[in-house]
Amino acid sequence: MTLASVRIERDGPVPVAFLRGEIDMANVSEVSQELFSAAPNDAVGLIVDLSGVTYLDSRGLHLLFELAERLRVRDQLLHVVVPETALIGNMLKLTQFSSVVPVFATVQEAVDEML
Amino acid sequence: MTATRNSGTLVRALLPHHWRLSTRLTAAMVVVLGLLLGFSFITYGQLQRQRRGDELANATAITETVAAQIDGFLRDIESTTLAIAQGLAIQDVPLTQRTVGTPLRNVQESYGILRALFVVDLRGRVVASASGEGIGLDLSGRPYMEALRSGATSVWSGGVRGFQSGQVTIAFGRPIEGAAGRPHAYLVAAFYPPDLMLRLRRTLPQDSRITLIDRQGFVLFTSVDPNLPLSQRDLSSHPNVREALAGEVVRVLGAGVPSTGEPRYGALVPIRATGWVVAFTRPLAPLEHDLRVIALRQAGGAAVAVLLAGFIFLMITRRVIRPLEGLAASADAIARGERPSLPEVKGPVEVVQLTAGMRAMSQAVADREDTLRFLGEASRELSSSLDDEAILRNLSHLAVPRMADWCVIYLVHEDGTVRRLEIAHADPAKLALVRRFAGQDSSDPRHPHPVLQAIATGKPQLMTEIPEVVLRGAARSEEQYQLVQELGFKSAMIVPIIMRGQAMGAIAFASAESGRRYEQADLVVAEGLAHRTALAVTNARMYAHQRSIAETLQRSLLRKELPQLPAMSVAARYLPARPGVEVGGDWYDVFLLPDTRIGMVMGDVAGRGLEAASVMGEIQHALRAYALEGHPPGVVLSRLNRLLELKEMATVLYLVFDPDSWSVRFANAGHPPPLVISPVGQAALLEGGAPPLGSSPLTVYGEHIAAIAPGATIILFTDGLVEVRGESLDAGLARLVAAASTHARDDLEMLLDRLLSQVGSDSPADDVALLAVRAAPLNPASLALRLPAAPGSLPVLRHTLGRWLAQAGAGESDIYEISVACAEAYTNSIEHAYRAADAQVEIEANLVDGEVDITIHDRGKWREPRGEHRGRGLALMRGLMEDVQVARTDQGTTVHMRRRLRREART
Repeated sequence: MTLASVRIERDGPVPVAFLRGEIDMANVSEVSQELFSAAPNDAVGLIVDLSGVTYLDSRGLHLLFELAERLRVRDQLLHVVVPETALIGNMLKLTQFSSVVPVFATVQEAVDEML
Repeated sequence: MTATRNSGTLVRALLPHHWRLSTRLTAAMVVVLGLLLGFSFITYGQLQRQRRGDELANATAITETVAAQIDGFLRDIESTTLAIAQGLAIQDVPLTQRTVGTPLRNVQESYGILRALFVVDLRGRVVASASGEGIGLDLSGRPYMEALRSGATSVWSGGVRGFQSGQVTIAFGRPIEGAAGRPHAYLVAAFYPPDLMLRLRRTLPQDSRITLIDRQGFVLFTSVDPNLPLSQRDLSSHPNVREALAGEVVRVLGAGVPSTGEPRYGALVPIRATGWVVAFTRPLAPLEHDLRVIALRQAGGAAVAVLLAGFIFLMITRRVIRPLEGLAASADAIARGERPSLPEVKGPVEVVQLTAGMRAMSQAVADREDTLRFLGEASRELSSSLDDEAILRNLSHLAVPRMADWCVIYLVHEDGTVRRLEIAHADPAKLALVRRFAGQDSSDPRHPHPVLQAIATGKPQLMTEIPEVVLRGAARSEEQYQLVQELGFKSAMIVPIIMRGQAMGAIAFASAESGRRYEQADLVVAEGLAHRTALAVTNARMYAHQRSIAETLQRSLLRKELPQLPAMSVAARYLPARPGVEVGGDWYDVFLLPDTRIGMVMGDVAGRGLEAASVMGEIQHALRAYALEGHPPGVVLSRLNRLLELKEMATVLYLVFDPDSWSVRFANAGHPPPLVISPVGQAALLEGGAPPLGSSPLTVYGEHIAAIAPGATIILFTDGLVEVRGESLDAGLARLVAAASTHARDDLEMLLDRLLSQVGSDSPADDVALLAVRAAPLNPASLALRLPAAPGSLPVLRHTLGRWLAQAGAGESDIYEISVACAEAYTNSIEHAYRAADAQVEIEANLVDGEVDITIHDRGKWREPRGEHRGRGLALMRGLMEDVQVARTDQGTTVHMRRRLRREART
C-alpha cells in the first residue's frame, strides 16, 4: 500500500529521481530503498525532484538527510529540486534543510550546478 | 433318425408351428376322422364282399348237398331196379301181373315215392304194374323205350308227361335179362319230381328256391312254381344253366334260376348220375339288409366318433386352450406391469397347476414390485430430509405398519453408546409398552442384547419364530416377561444401518398382532430399507458437512467487522436464502484505499455451494489486491476478468467513493446498479455497466463517474434483494428506489432493515447482500477522530483533517502545515507510545475565531526521542504551530497545539 512513486531517469549526465505522492511513515522505507540504489558509483551525484510530492513530514526529511550523508561518504553530491511555490518549502526552511542539501527550483538548474 | 426327422418335417409341414393349438387340433381331428371314415368305408366294402362270398359258398355247399342227395336217390333207383331186374331174370317165369305184380308192389310201397313200376315187354307194352294199373299201356313211342329197345342197359328219361296224370314224370328203364343174355322184358320205374324235390326242400331254408333241370335244360321242378306251365320250362338257353349242364358248378349272384325278377344268389350244381342240374337260390334281400344294418352301425359309430371328437375338441378348447390363452394374456399383462386377476380354473391338473403357478408368479412379481415401490418411496421419503435424526424418525414410520407391528430405531452416538432414538407401534395405545420394553436394555454379558450384537457385528439378526420358552428364558425379570406377553412377540429381525462399513444404528422390527413371521425375503427388504437409510443419512451428513464448509468459507469472506472510517458510517446485511438452499456466491467488501478514498465491492458468483464460495474468495482477494495497488475501478475489473479466464461467471460492482470531492467512480460487470440517496431523499440508480466477469476475456470495463450530494448514502446490493418471483426486475428496482427515498433520513442500520423488509421477498430464493456507506458532512466547528495507532491511519488523519480545515476555509499551506504537525504528533504516538496492536489514538480539533486548537491523546507512555532525527518531529511541530505543549502522565500522553489560520487564506 503506497501513495508514493519513484521514477529514476538515468539518460542524462546525472541520474534524476522524480518523487510523486505522499511520503510518510508508512512508505518511507520503500522510497528510501529506491533512492539509495538510484545513483551508481561512477555518477557525480543524484538529483531528487520533489515537485510532485504533495506531503512530506519529518520521516521524509530524515530520508533526504540520510541520503545526503550516504552520497557524501562516496564523494557524491545530492541536489534537491523544490519549486518556489511548493507547500513543503516552508517546512524545509524550518528545518534548515538547504544548509545541508542544495535546493534548486528546477531540475535543469540542479543539473547545471552539479556539472 | 432320418425317418424321424422326415416325419417331424412332415408333421411340421402339415401343422405349421405358427398355427394355434386349436387350429392344429382341428386339423389333426379332420385328418383322423377322414382316415377313420376312409378305413371304415374300406372295411365295409371288404365285409360286404366277404359276407357275399361266404353266403355264396354256403349256398353252393347246400346246392352240392342237395345234388348229392338227388344223385343218391337216382343211383338208388338204378341199383334197386337192377336188383329187381336180375331177380326177375333168374326166375325165368313169364312176366305177368300175376307173377310179378306182388313183388313190384312191394318194391314200390317200400320206396313210397315211386309212382309207377312197370314191367314192359319187348314190344313196349306194360305187362305188369306195381299198382296194377296201366297194364297194356304202350310205351313204345317213348324215347327212353326206343333207347332200351336199341340195346341201352339203363336209361333215364328227361321230363315226360305222365300217362295217367299228365304231370311231368321221370322214368328209368333197364332190360330184364333173359336166357342167353338177351333181354326178354324191360323194367321201368317212374316218379314225379315234385315228390322228390318237395321232400328235399323240407330240409332247406324257407326262403330258398330249388329247381331241377334235365339235360335238355327243361325244368323238371321248380319251387318257384311247381305247376309251371310246360311252355315256360325250357331254360336251355340260360347261360348259367348251359354252363352247369356242361358239368361246372356255377355260382349265381343277381337273378334267380328261373328268374322271378327278385335279386337272388345261389348255385347250379350238376348231378352226376343223370347229368341234370340242380339250382339252389336264396334271396339277396336279407343279406343286403344285414349289410345295410352293418353299414348303418358303422356310420353310427363314425358319427359317434365325430361327436366324441367334437366333444373332446370342445372340452380341450374350453378346459385347456381357453385357460392357456387366458394365462398367456395374463402373462403378457404381468410383463406389461399390470396385475391381472387370475380366476380359479377347473380343468386338467396341469392347467390348474399352471394357473396356480402363474398366480404365485404374479403374486411374487406384485410382491417384488410392491417391495421395490416401497423401497423407492422409502428412498424418496428418507431423502426428503437433510437432518439425520429426522431421517431415522421417518424410517420408523415407514416400517410400521408396512413391515412390523412395532419397531425401534437405535442410533450409535459419537461416544459409541447405543441409544434408542425412535419407537413406533401400529397401535398408538401400545407405544408406552414398547417404550418400557425397549428401555430395559440388556447388560448381561452372557446374553448380549441382539441389537448390540447386530451393531457390533454388522450382521442382521433374524428370529423367524420366538417360542414361548425362549421368551421366558430371555426375560430378565418377571416384569419384562409380562411386558413381552402383553406386547406380543412372534417374530423379529434386527438390521444394522451400515455407513462406510460401520454400523451407525439399527432397526428392530417385531411382529405381534399380525402374527406375521419374518422370512429371509423380509430380511432382504429390511436390509434394503437400512441401506437406503444409510445412504440418506450419509447424504444428509455430507450435505451438512459441505454446507458448513461453504458457510464457514463465506462467513470468513464477509467482513464481520466493517472498517471504521472517520466521519463515515458503514453498514451491511447478509441474508441467506431460505433454509434448504445451498450457500450462495454473494459477497461484499469495503476498504479504505491508500489515498483515503473508500472502495466498495459487491459481487455475485454464478452457482451455489462450496465451489461458488471458493470462487468468491478468489475474486474478492484478487480485487482487493488490485484495488490497494491503486488501480482505478475499470482497470481492476478488466484485470479480474483476465484472471478468471472464462472459468467462472460473476457479476461485480466496484465503486470508489471520494468523500473529499463528493464523487464516485465505478465499474460495473453485469451487477445491479449502485443506489445513491441524497440527504433530502432523492434516490437514483447510477447507470452504466458491462457484461459479467468471465463472459469474454476481451471485455474492457469502462469507468463511470458521478457526483453525489454531500452527506449522500451509497448502497450496493445483489439481485436477491429486488428479485421477486413472477415480477420484473424493473419493478423490484422501482420499489427499491421508492423505499430508499422514503427512508432517506433514517439511521443507516435502520435504513437497511427497512429496505430488506419492504423491498425483498419474505422468503428470498437467493441470498441478499446489502452494503451502505454514508459520509456525513463534517461539523465546521469541531472534529473528533479516533484512529488505530498504526501507520495506515496517517493518510486518514491527514485527509480527514484536510477536509475539515478546507471546509473551515483554511488555505493550502495552513492545511499542509497543520497536517504535518498533527502527523508528527501521531507518528510519535504510534512509534513511542504503543505496543499493543489495537491501541487507539484520539484526535480532537476545534476552530474558534480563526484559531485552530488540536489535541492528540494516546494511552501510551511517552518516550524521549532517540537519535538526531527523532527530535526533528517535535521541532517541526513547534516550528509549524504557534503553541505546542506535551503533557505526560501515567495514563498517557496528550499533545496540545494551536495555530491561527492565515488571514489571506481565509479570504
